[in-house]
Amino acid sequence: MSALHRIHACVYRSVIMLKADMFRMMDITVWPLVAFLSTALFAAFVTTNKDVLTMIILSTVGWRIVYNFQIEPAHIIMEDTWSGSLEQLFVTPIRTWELLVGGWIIAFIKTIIVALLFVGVSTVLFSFSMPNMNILVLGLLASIIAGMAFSLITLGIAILKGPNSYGFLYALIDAITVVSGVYYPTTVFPWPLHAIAQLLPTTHAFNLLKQAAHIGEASFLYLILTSMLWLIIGTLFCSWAVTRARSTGRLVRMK
Amino acid sequence: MDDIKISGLSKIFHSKKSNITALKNISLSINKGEIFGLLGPNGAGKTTLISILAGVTTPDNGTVTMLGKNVQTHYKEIQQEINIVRGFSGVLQNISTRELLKYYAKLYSVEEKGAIDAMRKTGIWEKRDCIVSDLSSGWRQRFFLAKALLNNPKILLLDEPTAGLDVHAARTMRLLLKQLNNEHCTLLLTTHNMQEAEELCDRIAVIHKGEIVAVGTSKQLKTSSKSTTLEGVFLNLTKEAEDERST
Repeated sequence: MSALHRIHACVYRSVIMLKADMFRMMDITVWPLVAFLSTALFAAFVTTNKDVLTMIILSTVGWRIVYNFQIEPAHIIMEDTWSGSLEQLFVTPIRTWELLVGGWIIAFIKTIIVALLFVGVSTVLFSFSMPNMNILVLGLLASIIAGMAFSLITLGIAILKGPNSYGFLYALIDAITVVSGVYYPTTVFPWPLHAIAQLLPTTHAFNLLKQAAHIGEASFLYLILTSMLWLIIGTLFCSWAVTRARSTGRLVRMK
Repeated sequence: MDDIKISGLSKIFHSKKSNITALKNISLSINKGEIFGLLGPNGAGKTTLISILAGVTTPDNGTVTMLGKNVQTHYKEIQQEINIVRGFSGVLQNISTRELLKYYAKLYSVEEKGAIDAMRKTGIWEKRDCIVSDLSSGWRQRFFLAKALLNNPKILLLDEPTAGLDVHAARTMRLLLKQLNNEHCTLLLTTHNMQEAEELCDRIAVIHKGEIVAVGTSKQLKTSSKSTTLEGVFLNLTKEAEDERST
């Protein structure tokens, strides 16, 4: 029960911060929509292939899912660091996993808003129709799990390295998404990069989304293996980072 | 029974340029219901000690027991029963007192009524709809005290709670702390204000360069240091420690 209270606290905090600064709504609505429209309109300009358009729409949603799930738990740390109140958070009984789950719930809510927005706009502008639903749901779920796995690493870096790393953390997932072949097959990359891409769960999650749009085929085996691998690596790293930050006194001194 | 028992506590912070010894083999016992003062110059190790007790920093050596539990292994359980007020802490921006306290109350699994009680007790109820980051230092410290009372702590750690406050605000804070102590809360307080230490504390420890150089009641410290004021005691002790080091 106490854990539920603390997870709820993370969600409540996000709600009051959003209410306090309505410009934050733009992070959930306007900016993602601008990025989405620029890509989708370009695609509509160069092709009339419905499957390609569908793939681009789904991949953009997938990208947003991975981004939100990856950054939200670390966002809690960032906001407290910027306010100089990080210690106030860590002196409470909140556990790292509760903070993560709280962040993921916020990410889920933001993702629902963005996805509805994208699908709504796509239906009006691009006559978007829902593709293979079973594969689509699996692809979205795979994107969520990939985002969760990367969030463990992001949170660990945010705690360990503090404000100097925040710019890097915002860019990290976009770089991973590009290497994961968000709108294209990873075979376009030279061999080493292509091999690295195969080790990322995002590559296989995006392949599933492409498959939902009848483009290419995903490997479930690779998807499961890479997701498990990154969840394990992320858990170990995050746990080590918190222990290390407590040892170096980082949680008190981070400003 | 001791609420806080510290034995052989050491902490060194390592950096690329140098290693800083923050605490050196500290041993202390703080009794249940006591107001214990920790005096020391800047960089003496007071904040590090408080951070270790609060469970946000781990020691290199030694053990700390609070409320009968080991801080290193049970810090999350202990954090549910203690709380902390820092003199110079920041707050999340643009959030009202009521909302921010409600958030912290949830982190301690306390219902909203607990937040309202804490606001009334500290008098910050009248500022409940104000933005915390816009409050004056005195009101902000009251906010932090209200935050610290949310879980009805058995032990309250106070790191320079009156730092930067004007005379009236500091006086109010001290009265609130006394009231809290009358309700059987153990207080560990760090301060640079000798008058405050003398007025509030049952016992005082002087810490200098990570070492405890004296412990006792204000009267005992004055007698042993042959000084008429606590400030004299403090200056003698920290100077002695400095002299011993240089010889």
